[in-house]
Amino acid sequence: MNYKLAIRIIGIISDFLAVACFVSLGLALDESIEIVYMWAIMIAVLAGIGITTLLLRVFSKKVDVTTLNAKTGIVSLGICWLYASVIGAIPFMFYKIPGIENFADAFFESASAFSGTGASLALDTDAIPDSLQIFRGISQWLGGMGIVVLITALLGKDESISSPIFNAEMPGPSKGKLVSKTRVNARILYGIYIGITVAEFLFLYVGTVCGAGSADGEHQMTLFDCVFHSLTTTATGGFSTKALSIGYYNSLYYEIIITIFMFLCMTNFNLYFIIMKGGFKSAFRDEEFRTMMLLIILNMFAISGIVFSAQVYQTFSDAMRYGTFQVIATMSTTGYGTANILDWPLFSKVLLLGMMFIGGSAGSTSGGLKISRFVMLMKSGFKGIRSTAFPNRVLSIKMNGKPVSEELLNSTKNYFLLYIWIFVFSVALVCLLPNGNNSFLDLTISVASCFNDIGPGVFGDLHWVSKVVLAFDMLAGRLELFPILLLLYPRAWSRF
Amino acid sequence: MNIVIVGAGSVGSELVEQLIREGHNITVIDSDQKNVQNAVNRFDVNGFVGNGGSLDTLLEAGIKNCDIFIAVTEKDEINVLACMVAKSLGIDNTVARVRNPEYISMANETNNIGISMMVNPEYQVSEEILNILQLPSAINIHNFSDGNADLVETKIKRDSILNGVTIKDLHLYIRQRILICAVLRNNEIIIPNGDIKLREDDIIYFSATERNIRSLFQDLKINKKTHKVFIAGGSKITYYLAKGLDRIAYNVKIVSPDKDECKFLADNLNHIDVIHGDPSDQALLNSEGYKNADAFIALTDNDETNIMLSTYAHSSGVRKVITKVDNDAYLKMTATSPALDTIISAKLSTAEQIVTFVRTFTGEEDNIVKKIHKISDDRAEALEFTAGETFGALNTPLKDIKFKKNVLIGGIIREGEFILPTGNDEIKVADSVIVVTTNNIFDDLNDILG
Repeated sequence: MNYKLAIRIIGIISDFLAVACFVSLGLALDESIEIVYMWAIMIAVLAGIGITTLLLRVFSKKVDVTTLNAKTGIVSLGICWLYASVIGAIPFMFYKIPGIENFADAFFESASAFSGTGASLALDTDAIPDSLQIFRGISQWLGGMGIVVLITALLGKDESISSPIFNAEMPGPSKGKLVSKTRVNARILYGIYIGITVAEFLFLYVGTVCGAGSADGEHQMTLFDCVFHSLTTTATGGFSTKALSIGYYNSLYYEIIITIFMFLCMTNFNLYFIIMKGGFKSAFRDEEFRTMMLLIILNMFAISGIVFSAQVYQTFSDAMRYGTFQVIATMSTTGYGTANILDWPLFSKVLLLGMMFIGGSAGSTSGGLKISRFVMLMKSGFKGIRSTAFPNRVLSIKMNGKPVSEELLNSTKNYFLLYIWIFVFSVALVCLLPNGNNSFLDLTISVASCFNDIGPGVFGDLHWVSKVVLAFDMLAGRLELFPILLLLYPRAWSRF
Repeated sequence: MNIVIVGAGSVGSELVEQLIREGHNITVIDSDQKNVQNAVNRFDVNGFVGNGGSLDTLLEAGIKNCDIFIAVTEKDEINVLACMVAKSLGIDNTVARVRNPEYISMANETNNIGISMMVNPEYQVSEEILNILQLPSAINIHNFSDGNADLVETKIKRDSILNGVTIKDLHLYIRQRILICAVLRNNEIIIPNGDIKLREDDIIYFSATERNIRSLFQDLKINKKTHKVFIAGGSKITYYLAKGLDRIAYNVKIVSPDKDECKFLADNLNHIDVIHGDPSDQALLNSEGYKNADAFIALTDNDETNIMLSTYAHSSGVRKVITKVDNDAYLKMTATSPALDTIISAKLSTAEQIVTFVRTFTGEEDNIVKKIHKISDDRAEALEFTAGETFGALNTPLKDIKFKKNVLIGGIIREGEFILPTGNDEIKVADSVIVVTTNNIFDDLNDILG
């Protein structure tokens, strides 16, 4: 195991975190003196780590990151994300937010931020001061597109990062490169990411200026809220400044804007590049995109129909409004809420649970299995049925009209198996340890919500071990399992 | 003409045979000593052993004096390379055989890479089969003038209305205007005059527009539709054919014993059942319901297997059976077999295409051959000419023209319009003229005049 790459990335991450802390410090000036000191010390220490690793690099032999093997790259990635989550947990320890009592809670909160999950233990989100809020928001935004992707984008012309580590951070079964240079690729992705974030902020802020909030005018998004929600939507994270999430504003305008941007962020970012080159038609030719549209439309009508017929809402348009928002929020694995889904009929919860596992597109910021994997698994299942009936048939599984290789298919199946095993193990553990007498369905949904990086769930009464396991689940879900699983695999650490 | 042929395999030697008959000087190049020896022994040709893509070999073979360069080795890459080398040495007329589906789009770029004509035998044959499947009662269909006219080969069955009809009375029995150009009876081709009476088991060749053919078959009640197609063998022809059938939504099953072929077909075709198994395994054929197929097409690499399978399918009552045969001896033996109706050969169809190409250079610039179709294993030919200024009988009513013996004008196509010729019709400049003849080396429209 070669730690040089990990150390180098840790140095750069520390710099990013120092910048985030600096923003928080700016907003924390009227907080208590300990907190101001805490941020100042954080900045000093992180900057110190950053400078130290930089000096190490200057004075020691240069690490040739292109020749690192896949194992080193992937383990390094796991180490770095774990490092970011642990460092990110420290501020939560000092703020004394009700619900976040010990380090396990703080780690859960921090992992939830970086992995883009959006699950929170805070009893009252409204009570979190802006200085800590913005730290949560920035963490989530950094984690959304990926820390290593950002580092790659900022690399110099002569440097490059090995593709296994870059790919490990990009979600999806098969990674298509847009251009030949990874560095340029990362820049394009981050360019799109920043573009979407800024666009959402502008739309939300226009709403605020025009008074799009609820009728009484008290529930407006402040400038801070607009910034915060833009950061957490594009990361498909789902943190909100309000305990009631988007539902607090009770505004159709905000809901429509956020729905659109959640949709944009659950779409494969490579498609935007393709659209820029080949027009909108080329996007509709993409099988994953078409399947995503189909799933969204089917689920939209199914959920709306169910909640309307169960008379949760008086009018169908209300059912559509809340149903659609919930479907997109769940499928994109953002996890915002506008309605109390605990009151919804059982079947709609089961549908939502299914959507959690499917998730968004590969190459987007969303979590879950990813739609392309889901499509491949479905096709593989049908192939199983057909080859039983006609044993001599030679059947080929195709995506976008091109045959899927046996290797990709096998790794997808293995991924699915691992995914299910980890999920089952986590559910069992949460049920075994003290869990505050929540129902099995609610616990299952909570675990699925963490593992697939969605967010909402019942976490407050869980045992601290459950919380730590769920925090690992979130990171594993975000990083496509292997970087976190390899951390737990002793052989991966050995040099031999 | 001096012609260099690279590759003396089955297509190469067929080409040599046909071109020698037309009186050309031929040089054969092949990397296999045996093939060259064989060609030199059988025909009056010059032979060289060596790689056709190599400049040295080509120079040694005297390529600089050649008028037409033809590369038909097994390997596409060699063929393309050889043509490019020949072009660079100043040979303007080059023909390459290219069979790999992955290279097919290159056909549009041939001029840029120094190839005058690219022949893809497998693709050609698959197109022929597609044509036949759309009119399954025809044994064979030859297109003329980009599909403005067809020459159709069909057999007179015992219960046919045409059985016993004299040709000049044909219009009393059918509404459509067709012209019977040739009759194959007892292995003899007859270029008919009006007095011949059609009999059972005669194979007739008639020219007409596609619309007329369809409506004729409808009137004769032999226009059965083909929906279920069973293909044995998964070669390149199968791929092209299945791709064509896929486009027009046929129900197709392909059986091939080769796992890789199956994989390739399954990966590249969409709605087609690919079955891995031995097509001569009866249990497999039965379980796949081959008897219920509307057409059975045997396209394996083995002629014997194809013939056996087709005979079996025919005896099981499959209506349309198409057999691929490439071996010369078998082609002669099967030509009149009652159990096999349509026989196709990639080799012959390539040779046909290339011979057409060669003949366009030997005739007068004006009255060039546009298309040649061989009838009944080379017993007769149907040719399409474009009439030029130098044609000796322009604007003369056909009844006043003195033709050679055994020559018949099968049709005139003027501005895309098919004219069924009568004695009063005339041939004008730029008309396409279909000529059916048993004299086999016409390369100029003037050759038909007596």
